[in-house]
Amino acid sequence: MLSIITFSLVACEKIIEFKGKETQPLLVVNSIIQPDSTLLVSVTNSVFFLSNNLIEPIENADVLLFVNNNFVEKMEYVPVDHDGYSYFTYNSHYKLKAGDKVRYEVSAPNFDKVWAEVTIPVPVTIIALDTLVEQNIYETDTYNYTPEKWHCKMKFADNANEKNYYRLSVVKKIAGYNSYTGEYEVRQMEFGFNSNDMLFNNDPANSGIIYEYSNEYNIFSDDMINGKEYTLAFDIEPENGGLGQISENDSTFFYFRLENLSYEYYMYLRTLSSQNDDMGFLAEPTQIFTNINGGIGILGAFSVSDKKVEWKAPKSQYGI
Amino acid sequence: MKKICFIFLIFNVLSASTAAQNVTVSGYITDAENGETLISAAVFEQNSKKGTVSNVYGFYSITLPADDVALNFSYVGYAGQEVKFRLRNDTAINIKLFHSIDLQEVTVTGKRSEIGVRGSQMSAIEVPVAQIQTVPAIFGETDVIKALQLLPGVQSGTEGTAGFYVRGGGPDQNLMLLDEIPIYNVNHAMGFFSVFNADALKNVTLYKGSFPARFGERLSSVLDIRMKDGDAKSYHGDISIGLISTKLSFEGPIIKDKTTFSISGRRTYFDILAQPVIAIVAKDEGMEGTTAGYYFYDLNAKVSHKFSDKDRLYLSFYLGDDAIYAKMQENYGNEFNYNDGSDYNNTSTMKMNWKWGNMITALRWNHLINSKLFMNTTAAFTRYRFFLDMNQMESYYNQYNQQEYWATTAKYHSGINDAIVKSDFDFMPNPNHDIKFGLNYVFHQFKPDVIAAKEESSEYDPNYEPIDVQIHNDPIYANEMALYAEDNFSVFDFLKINAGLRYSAFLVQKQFYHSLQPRLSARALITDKFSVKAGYSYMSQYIHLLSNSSITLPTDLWVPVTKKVMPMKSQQVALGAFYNLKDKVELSAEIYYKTMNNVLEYKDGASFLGVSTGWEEKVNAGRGWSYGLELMAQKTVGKTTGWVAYTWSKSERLFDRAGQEINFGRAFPAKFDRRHDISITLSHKFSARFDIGATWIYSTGNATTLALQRYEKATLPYNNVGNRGGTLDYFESRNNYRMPDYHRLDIGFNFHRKKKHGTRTWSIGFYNLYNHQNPFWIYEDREGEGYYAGNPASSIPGDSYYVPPKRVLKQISIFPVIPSISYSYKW
Repeated sequence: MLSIITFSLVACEKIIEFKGKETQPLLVVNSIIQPDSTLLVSVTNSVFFLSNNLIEPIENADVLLFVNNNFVEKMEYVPVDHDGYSYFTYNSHYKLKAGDKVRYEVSAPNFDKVWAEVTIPVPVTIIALDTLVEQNIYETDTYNYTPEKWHCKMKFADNANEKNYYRLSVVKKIAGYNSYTGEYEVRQMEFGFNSNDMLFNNDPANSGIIYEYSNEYNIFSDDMINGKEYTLAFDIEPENGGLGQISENDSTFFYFRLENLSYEYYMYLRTLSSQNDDMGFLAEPTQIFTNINGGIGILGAFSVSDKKVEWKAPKSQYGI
Repeated sequence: MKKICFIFLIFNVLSASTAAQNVTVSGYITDAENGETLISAAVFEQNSKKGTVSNVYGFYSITLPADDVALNFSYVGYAGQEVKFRLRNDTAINIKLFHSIDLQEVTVTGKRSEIGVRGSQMSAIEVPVAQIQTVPAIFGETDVIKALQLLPGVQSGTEGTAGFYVRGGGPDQNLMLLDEIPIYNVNHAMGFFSVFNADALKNVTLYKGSFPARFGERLSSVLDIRMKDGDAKSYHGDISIGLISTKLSFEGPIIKDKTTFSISGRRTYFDILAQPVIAIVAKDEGMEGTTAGYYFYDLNAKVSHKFSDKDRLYLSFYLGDDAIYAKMQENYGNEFNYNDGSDYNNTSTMKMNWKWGNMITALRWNHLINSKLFMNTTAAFTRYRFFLDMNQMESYYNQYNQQEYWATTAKYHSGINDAIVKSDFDFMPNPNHDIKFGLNYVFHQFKPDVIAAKEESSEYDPNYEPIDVQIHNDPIYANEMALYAEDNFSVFDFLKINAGLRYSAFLVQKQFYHSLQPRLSARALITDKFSVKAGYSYMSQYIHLLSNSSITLPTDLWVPVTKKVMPMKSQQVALGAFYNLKDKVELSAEIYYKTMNNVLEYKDGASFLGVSTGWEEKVNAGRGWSYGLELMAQKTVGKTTGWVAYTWSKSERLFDRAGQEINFGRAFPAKFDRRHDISITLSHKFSARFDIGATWIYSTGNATTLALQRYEKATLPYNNVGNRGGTLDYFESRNNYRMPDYHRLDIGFNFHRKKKHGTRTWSIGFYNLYNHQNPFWIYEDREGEGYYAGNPASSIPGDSYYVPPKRVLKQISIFPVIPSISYSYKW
């Protein structure tokens, strides 16, 4: 009897024929803008989900840039080397500013013409940043370990006249001479932090009895703080590594950044984060936000305000 | 209160004023053999051609001119009775009907006076419990909800589950009433079984539209289930042993013809049978003392007492729980402690106790105020609770032979409690009017969730911070009340109308919502056998169910409306034609159109696993509409009974409010929207010793969301977080693809044999007889291995390129052919 019940609960899997219409590839246009930089636009094609075709860069697209409703230029297709990898993008020569309304129109043979538009947010003023250092002591007979924990508070004022979307990030930057090459170099990475702040919506009360929700990109909206001053609380453990060895003469800085995101970019990050939480057939799959009219992808924008704090690494960190 | 007294006065005056010409015959209609009251039994007076039907308590009242009368009492499957006398004064006649000798072959009893050709009610189906018991079911577990899923306009959800979707509505829009009291969670075992044990039930009626004013507070359906009162004459029992559960029912008189009881219980024993296997595995793994299991049980009980012909008392009780329990103990033996060089004995124990279920208690008082005015007053309590307790402890002995430990405790509780008081009145001033009115009050206590976590350790660590937290949402209290009045009246013989009005109000956290809901249904009798009907209903719902969309989980939470999340509202119109074919087959065709407002859908990727905090942020409100055609042929008499049902329907949702867009603000098919549903449910009685039941179901595949394109993810401007490149799936729209069609055949054989004290029955069944692999879930996957192939375009010897595995669409199916066998003995 047990075997009958077990047998009945064993799921059967089989390959089935796709009976829908094979959808045609769409133009995929991706670009995230920061003020005081030029625009880089990636143009590729999408592929049918059952095909093994590769996603290819589209070299012969016309990418027209408009800023504040004025045509600026036809963007140039160039390969960009990034950490040894080639990314093919369309580049502009125009330096964009906060507050600019940026629009591009992209057309390519065999694809419908697509367009997107975004306004670059203006940076938000960080009113104050406090870091309270807590020194922890772990002692055993053979080993003393005294890691630091920084209790950080970042105060900023939300603009009451507009809907705002934010991202908090911390960047660790180490500058110094490489002991092997003798060259001066700067290494940096985005650094993890912990926060139970309600704005991140990932406090324990929201986590459920089973893992439920994550905020992978530490983004939040001004829904609860509209027009108010607010102090974000979060902790970092500065000794956490990831940037290789530190030497005594290196300078280490932490940049505490508050990014003001466009709605489009916020939604893109939010849906990306939700997609990682998808629970198979238990929930509806996440539709990743797109604002490319006629195509897929994202045209997002953000601006950054930051505060820099220097950190003197303890001797125990040297050579790690 | 003054108003109520005034209404009483009006009705009494009305009664008195009509008494000059007319007198009233009233009483109860019961089964002569067991004293069970008969619901909707017909009463017809031959001379005046006037008639009525008994109410849900078997009470009837008919007011006629003081003259010679010939009253016919009838109920399908029972021998009719005619009573002739000269009617001079108000007269009480209690009628006992005997099972018909002429209709020995009748296997199913049922009466559809208010639902069939002559009644004003449409969009309602009464399914005889005897019929439900012949529908073959998975593991042989007879299931009321799964039988209802075979009716037109009712769609099943995920394969095998007991959720149901009525005319495009959601599973939270169904009001499930057990002896008039709402039951919140009708599922056992993640929805694969329902809580209704058919052995304990007397009558099942499903309303899909044209709702009478006495029902409210849900948008899409009312399932009115009545428990058996108990045999007033003699003791009877029924024991049934199946593959996964055993059921026991017992009923009889406590005081003959006055006090009855009925008790039914069911418990699964999969956990008990699995214990020896678990013990053997645990012993092999060094985890002796481990126990684990899952079970569910139901207990239905009812006591009724007849004080007099005017007063009866009913006490109903239901208790049902699902439970998962586990106790694991692992002894790691002596292990080497690298910190201090000692040996230590490490033990790990874990205990889990997970339970959820409903409890209902209802005390009802039937009182005959006068021969025309019947009152039923109910005080009831209904509760759904969910709790999970987990304890874990690791312990060992240190070098000083002292026990060190690390222990954690986690608790989670949630639930809903309702205290209900209601009074319903039936007033039958004359045969042309059947007036129902009443009021009810519900005090809701929503206990959304309490999470408690505790961690402690005996180890010395200056930086160790024990955890002792309790996170909870405060209980939410809400007051809900409703007043209603409806009149089921005849305008000549041709036209019968049920017109009603319901006013409901809901007060929660200083937020007050209310709604006035008109209801109307009308029947035009074209011939004695053929009628057309039309209906309109406006419904309002003040509570929402937070659940995952595909299956039912015990963590699903009911929450009240808030300032931000408004009550759901719906309007429905329906038209239908009904034909009685030779008094054997009821044919019906109905079309309907329904709109729903403020319905909720979960945001993309959002799921609820038992936490209500911030739930308003996880849902979007929108609207929906559905329409369809339902055809049905139902035969309830003869050796062959059953029905053939066909539904064509379409149900869509639109979430286009600013900031609450789903599917980019475009309309999309609702979950479980299906174009065609066909079901054929038949049973045939070959002889007193052998009968067969069979069901064949066909439906269009469920809508599902499938990414038909994949594309490049944007390069994010962070050098580590999220900047992983890769591809994303592109979902053009929600529910954009149809799974393969669904069909299956279930069959059951019943072999009966008379024994000395009763009848034994062997039942053998096959669920999904021809083993059709029905779709449960589909997804994209890769099949086979990738390989390197030579590059014909290259001049370099050995140059090759990688050919990745083929991408394919895969289907997961559950429930292949499942045989079942059960033994039952009735006495």
